[in-house]
Amino acid sequence: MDRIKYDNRIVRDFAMATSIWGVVGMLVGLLAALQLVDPMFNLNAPHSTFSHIRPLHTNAVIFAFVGNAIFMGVYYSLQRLCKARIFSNLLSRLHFWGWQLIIVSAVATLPLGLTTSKEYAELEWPIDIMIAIVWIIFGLNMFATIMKRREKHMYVAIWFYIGTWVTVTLLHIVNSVELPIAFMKSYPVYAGVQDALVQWWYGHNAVAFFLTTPFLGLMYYFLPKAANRPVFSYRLSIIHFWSLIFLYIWAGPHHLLYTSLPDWAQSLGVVFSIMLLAPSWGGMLNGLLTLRGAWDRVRDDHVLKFMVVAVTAYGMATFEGPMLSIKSVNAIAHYTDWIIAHVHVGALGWNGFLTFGILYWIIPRIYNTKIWSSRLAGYHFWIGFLGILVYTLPMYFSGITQSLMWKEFTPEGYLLYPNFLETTLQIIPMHIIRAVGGGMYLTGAIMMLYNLLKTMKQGSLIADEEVSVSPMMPEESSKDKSHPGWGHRWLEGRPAQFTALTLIAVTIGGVIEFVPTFLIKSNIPTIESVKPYSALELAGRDVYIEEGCNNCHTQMIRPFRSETERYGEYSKAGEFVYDHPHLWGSKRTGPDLHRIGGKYPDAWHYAHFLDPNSMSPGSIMPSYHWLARKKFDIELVPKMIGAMRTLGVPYPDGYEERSIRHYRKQANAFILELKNSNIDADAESKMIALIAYMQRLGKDIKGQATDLSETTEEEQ
Amino acid sequence: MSEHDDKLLSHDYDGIKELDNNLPRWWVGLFWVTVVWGVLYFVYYHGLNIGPDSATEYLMEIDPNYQPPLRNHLLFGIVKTYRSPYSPERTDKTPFSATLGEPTEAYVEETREGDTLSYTLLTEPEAISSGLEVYIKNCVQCHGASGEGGIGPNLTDQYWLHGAETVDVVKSIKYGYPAKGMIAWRTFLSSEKLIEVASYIQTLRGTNPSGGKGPQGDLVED
Repeated sequence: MDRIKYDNRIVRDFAMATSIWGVVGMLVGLLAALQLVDPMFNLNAPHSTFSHIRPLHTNAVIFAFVGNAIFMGVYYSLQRLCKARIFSNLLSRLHFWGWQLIIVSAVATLPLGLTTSKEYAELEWPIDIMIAIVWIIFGLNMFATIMKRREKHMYVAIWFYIGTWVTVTLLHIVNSVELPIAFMKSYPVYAGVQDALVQWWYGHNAVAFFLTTPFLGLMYYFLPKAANRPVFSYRLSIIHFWSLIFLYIWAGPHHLLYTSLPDWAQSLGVVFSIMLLAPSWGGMLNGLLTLRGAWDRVRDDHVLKFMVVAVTAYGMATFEGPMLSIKSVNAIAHYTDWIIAHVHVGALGWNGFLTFGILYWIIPRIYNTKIWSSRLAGYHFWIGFLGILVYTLPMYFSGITQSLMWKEFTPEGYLLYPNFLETTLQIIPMHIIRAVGGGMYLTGAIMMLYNLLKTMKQGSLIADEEVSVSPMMPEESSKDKSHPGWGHRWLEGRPAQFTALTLIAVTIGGVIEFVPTFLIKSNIPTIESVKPYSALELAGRDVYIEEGCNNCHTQMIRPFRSETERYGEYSKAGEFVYDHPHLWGSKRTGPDLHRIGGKYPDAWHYAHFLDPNSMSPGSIMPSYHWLARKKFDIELVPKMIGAMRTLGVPYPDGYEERSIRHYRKQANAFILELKNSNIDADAESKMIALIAYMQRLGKDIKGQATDLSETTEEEQ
Repeated sequence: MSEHDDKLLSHDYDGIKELDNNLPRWWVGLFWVTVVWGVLYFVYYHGLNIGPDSATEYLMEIDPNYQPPLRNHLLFGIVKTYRSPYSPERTDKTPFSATLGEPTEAYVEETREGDTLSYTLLTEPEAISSGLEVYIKNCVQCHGASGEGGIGPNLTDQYWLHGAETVDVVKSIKYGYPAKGMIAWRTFLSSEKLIEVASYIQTLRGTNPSGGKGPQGDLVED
């Protein structure tokens, strides 16, 4: 027998980070929820508008709350499943502090508008590099621990940890290929349809491999431990693990149904999402059926209560996901609050409740004590559970209501609600109830934090838990038929081969979807009248990204009569070929903007940005009055144009050199136009750039692109 | 749960044991159904090209009489060209292989020049008050509560940028002057409402409200 010491300190550190960032992330979420009730909660400041708070919320709950929870659970369970102390204390410390530094960088940059605009990958390139380094440190620590294990075979939880690590590495690297043009400013190498496809391959699989597979791994360890019951079926584990990771990767295009993505890619997204139903439910079944014989304990044991709701929520969310991927359902649900309800069943139910259950299970154990108040934990369960219902039910109602209002025609064939704002005001009461639900859930999390701190105070941390473990047993001979399973047992004893096979399984889907979209020209038919943005418009596009407009406005008109009537001709793939990055968006809190160009006067936009209520009474859009004051950094313009040229945008020769001149010339035309309406605007202000971008949007297809050719002497 | 014999496997990971139960049969059935459905779906839309693609679906939605043209697809529909629904050649039966690589037509919009409908001034009080309602809901932000102008021109004076006749006013509203900032209202307002609001606007002439915007356009004598 070997005497070894498990490292519990690193588990405690990640547990604390999980609880604290969880409360912070949810608090930011509550603020965002209130902003959709009344714009005064935008606090009338440049860094606290919904467009900056929403990415802060998603990043905080995904990467700070759930991320730290993954690491907590992995560090606890991996040591015990491998019968080995974690490989390196130094790597553990680097991993912990590196990850917290990344989170702090996110908190420091996202409100400032330093963002790539790509959902769940908003962080700019220096932070992307930092994420890659810390993730590799985590990988080294994990694989090295697996290598020095005293257990020949890897338990199913470890399969999921390996799948997670391999795939997240792949996703992060491929989606972050970007060309830096300044510190904290970059353009992605992909454009338009391709950028959208890569982004949603990433975005969808961030859900799959950051919010799902690691948590299935955690479930496979902590649920049978807490229930003290054997896992229901080893064969089911094998089948659902491999089918899940293989199929998941393909399903990204279901985020792009009825967009300009080629139809065949959309259909792949549909069919692979439907095929995901059974593999996802395999995880739920193995969780719930493991509880057979322990159901009487669920009533009294708060840890099991949280876990049962978590696994059930997982089952519901993974049923809803495939249903939402059916095109006719998606046509109703996409861009609405329905999707927000769906993700919160997953986030609050599955991720949140499993994390809470694990925290309540781990902390007393590593502090060698009992939970401070089991009753308070019970209250947490109920307020959290009711919070989920009060959050999600009104959001389903709201999403369906608004979608049907968008699609409603009068008998004469006109839109019944031609004014988008009417549909927004209709759902405000639902947003109020949602905020109450979120508040309840947050209250529960604060109760838990208090309970855990009290528990830690009454016990004392066993920083190094000393145990006796037996050395590695030799592998059963291949003739031993006591184990079922197609040679899988062999694979479980070979981490390198296992990892390689995982990598192959998760690469296939992406390659088959990417290669034709990138290489076959007919997938993105060219439209001759589509031209590159002018210097001023490109600057406006950067302002659009900086202000986070894409958090509430889409630029993707779907081929439905209700959308072409409201917004104009539906969006074509060829219109986005110079869009680095794409700005299609995923949610219509406000109307689509793809054909906004030329629809309203410049003065209308000016007045609207200063105070949206002046032009659209009752609007919940925050004021962006600082745009009139803040200047765009014009010196950066030639560099921006040069970067675009490097990425393949065909600017006329020498446009870089005269870009500043052209910028001023075009800006001055706007100034003159605004003077007619008695508005004195600053030609260098971000406002003018943004208005120029607005007025350009959707015009190329009408043959009205800005002329970038060399201006004649007289014109200067 | 008699279908499961709950045989324990010999291994044990940190106290966690696993059972050797068979996969639930309904689960296996569900998996197969989804896989078969997935294959059929893909073949229906892209192999045999029976199901309509998004663009065809749209044409069928806006025009109930639309007959999808014969579709020629190569390589399971992965290779095909896009056709603008507004392209005059949309019923053209030229095989796709012949048109591959050609740029698509630019988008063509319905125009004011093509609109030859006549619009007559309404004078009944109901029509005028209905026009006022439309005006309050849609026009005041730019033309002012009394038509005095603001972002948009003054509607109460004798000066008109695009003609003062009822038909001119209706068309200005219907098709807008997007380059100058006037929105095209034809998707928002029925023809009836367009005429009503234009008729209401005609009643504003000469009312001379306070804060009126300066003259724009040509003088039109009554």
